[in-house]
Amino acid sequence: MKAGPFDPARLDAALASRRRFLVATLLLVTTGPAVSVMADLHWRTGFDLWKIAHLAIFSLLFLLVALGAVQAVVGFWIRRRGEPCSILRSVDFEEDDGVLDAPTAVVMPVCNEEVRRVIAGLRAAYESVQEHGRLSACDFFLLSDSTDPNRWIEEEAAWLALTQQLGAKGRIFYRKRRVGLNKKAGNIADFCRRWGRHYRYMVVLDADSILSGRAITRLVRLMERNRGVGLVQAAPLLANGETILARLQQFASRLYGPTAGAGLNFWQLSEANYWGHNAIVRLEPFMRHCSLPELPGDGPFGGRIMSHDYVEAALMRRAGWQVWLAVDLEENYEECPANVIDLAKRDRRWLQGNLQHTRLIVARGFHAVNRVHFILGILSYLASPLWLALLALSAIIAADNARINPAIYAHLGFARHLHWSLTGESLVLFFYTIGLLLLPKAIGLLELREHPGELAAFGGWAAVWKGVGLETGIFTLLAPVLMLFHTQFVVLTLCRQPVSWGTQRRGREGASAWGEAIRGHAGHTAVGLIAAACVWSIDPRLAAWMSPVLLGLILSIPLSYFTGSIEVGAAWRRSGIFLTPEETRPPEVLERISRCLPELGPASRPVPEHLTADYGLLQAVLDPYVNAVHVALLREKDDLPAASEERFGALRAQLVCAGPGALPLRDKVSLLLDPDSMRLLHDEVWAAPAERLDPWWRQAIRHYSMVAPAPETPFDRQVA
Amino acid sequence: MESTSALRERSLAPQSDPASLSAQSEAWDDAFLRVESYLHAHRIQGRVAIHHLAAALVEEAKRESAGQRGTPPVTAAMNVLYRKMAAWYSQAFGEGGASEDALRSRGRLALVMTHLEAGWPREFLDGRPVRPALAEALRESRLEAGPELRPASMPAAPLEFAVAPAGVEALRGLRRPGLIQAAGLWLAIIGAMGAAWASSH
Repeated sequence: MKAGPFDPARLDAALASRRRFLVATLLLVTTGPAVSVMADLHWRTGFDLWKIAHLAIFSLLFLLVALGAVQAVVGFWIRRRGEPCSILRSVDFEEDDGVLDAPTAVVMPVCNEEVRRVIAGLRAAYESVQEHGRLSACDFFLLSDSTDPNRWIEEEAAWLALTQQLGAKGRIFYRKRRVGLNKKAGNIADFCRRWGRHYRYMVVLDADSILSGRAITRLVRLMERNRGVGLVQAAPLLANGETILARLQQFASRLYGPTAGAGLNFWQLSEANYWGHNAIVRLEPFMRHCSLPELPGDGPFGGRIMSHDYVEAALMRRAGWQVWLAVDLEENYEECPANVIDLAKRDRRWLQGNLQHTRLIVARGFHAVNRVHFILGILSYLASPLWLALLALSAIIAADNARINPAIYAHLGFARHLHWSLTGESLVLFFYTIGLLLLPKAIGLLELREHPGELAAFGGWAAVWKGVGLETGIFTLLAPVLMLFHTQFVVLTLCRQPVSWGTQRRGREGASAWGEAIRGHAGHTAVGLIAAACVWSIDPRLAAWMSPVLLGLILSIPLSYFTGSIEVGAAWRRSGIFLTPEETRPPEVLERISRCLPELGPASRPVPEHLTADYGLLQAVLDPYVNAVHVALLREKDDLPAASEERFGALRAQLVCAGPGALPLRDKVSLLLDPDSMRLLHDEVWAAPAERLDPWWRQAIRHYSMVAPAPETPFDRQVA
Repeated sequence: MESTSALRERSLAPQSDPASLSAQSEAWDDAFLRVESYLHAHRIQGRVAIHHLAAALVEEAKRESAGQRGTPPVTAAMNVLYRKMAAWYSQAFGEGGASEDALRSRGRLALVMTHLEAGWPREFLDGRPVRPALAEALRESRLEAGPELRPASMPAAPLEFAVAPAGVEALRGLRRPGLIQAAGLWLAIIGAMGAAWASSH
């Protein structure tokens, strides 16, 4: 195998330390002056406890802002210079293009996801791998934890139809767990326990991941070349967004992501993080060292580990295996939430998982950089309640100042040398903060200036500037809404309120609805109005300072609806706003997925509305083929005890005579998991006279009558 | 809704009664529709073929029911269809012993996996032996949901917690000489800022 100029095995530990200390020093140099100026402002009006708390929170938040800016700066610098320590430089991909025989499993864990999108993603990856033709031993797995019978049944039929259409029998597999223990981490662990020993590598995809055959092959090649690397996380770009929010995120990630990623790699090096998808894992050490333990205790900080990826990366590193971030791996994408409510739902899941890592910061044996990952993950969500606290303290301090009218040391402090008025000094701090916030954007633009081809693909300078302006404005207004969401989630998590792991809606499914926007943001609007009235009564100038925050909250309902609108998103795309190179020059793998994804137009045989709620059950019972596939995928059980036989008999009778509405979901799932019951139900319902059947079943059977085309299942769908 | 027993009574009434004759005829019409729908659900191509097949099955069910009491026409007709299907699958697979419902379930799976539904009516229940090529295709069809199991254990990684990470533990992985140099630099920066503060406040 032809080696590239970089060998991770020879990574100089002194270089890694120097880079980390450089970043820390830059953080100190950037944050120190801001904290000093804020302290000086407080000192000039007299310190008290409120101001000490305000200064402490300000320092922590400023550190996070500074980290983003510093990463962008070092990322830009190292990209210009040519990063010598990039895992992608360890293989000469041009020279090394031979066929690989490393047994590789591409796994896609799913849970109640939109089945057509899942299948389209799997199909695109499979076809792309086949066409690329450099991976001779690559199998694909759809690992389902779906609990919604409608999704579950559709997955089964769609999987079989896919293997038939592609002639991929024995290459694309499907597994549904009976009990979704330990969520996604448990799903992957179950795969490893069953089949992990067949494979050397596992490429993990999310339901919305898009990886080309070339990208997958390159990941395998990196692992084959670097035997000391346990995991390579590929930094994905966002793609396929349709709403304003989704397109705005993908525009920002495309423009600022490469420098941010390079900055991240600059200090992480072989102690990078794992994001749970778009990554390749060496299975043997993963299975030996990365099985997640339970955390002691229960509640928000104990029990099963919810956010598994950071911990798995830390465990892999603890066992001596390197973990790398592959920045700039081409044809590597993921999708993003389409509206604010879905973004918040996703954040709620991640938030609880990240807060749980608090315990792990002090676990023995982890690398210092992995501890930093845990801390940054926690702070990324704790920043919201801290920001809220900072705003509240600012209002309290302003109210105090208005009430007691403190003496101001006009010519003392830094003003002694710099001749700053109190307002002038505040403005300096304000513009410094804004400058740091905008610095990654400016650096993204500088980077773009050096790549004229990319610039054209973004639609030219006018489109880019318009996009950056709108993205900054919209994110400024949305930030306080997300702040309130995150704060609410932190409080709920600390109060041990369970997290509902709702499925993220993607594509057209994720478009906004007014009702949902009003329900989701009515509280934010109320908070915004009350806060505006309070702040105005304290000091109208303070209200002006806080106007972006207040405006974002007051306008949260229309803002949420508008940014989640597919129609407006499409209109903005036509106007050239938020264009990305993936939209103007879509790569083959994205075009392939568009072709694979059948339009969600009206089905050839629309399902009557009252049948839709239990349509999966309907098909599993009535459709001869769906029933047969479903039964074949269930594990045959030994003889059931009489009590179980009796229970299943009673449930079947109830289902037939009273319809699915009479059974709770748990009982319907029990029946769906019992192969004998499913065979018997198929025979019984079809052979029962109408009088014995609940009207729901009579309607369902009419759905199969000769007077209309047969109902649509995945077996009937053909893709161009 | 009419009870099952009432329907049964009605189906057993003397055939000379025009009302009962009509009810019975309706019940057999329902049976015909049910059989037809079931065949249609198999995606069998050709309405005429389905119609003929359904008519033949219902006629056979009628003949069988003539001497029997209590089986509703829909059930009788579907039972004939189930039996015929099981026999056909049994012949195709060349196996006996499995329960009828299991055989039919496996047969349906074989059909969907071999895409035979389009040509099926011409072959199915026509009284002739199943063609060897067809039988082999059906026999060979297997659902491969996963490779062969190779169970492995994944013992949970042990975790030990310190109340607070000791200095050495927290800085694990960082080079000490570099750390000392960096700490010196940071102290110098903090000291310079402290001096600036002290000189102005």
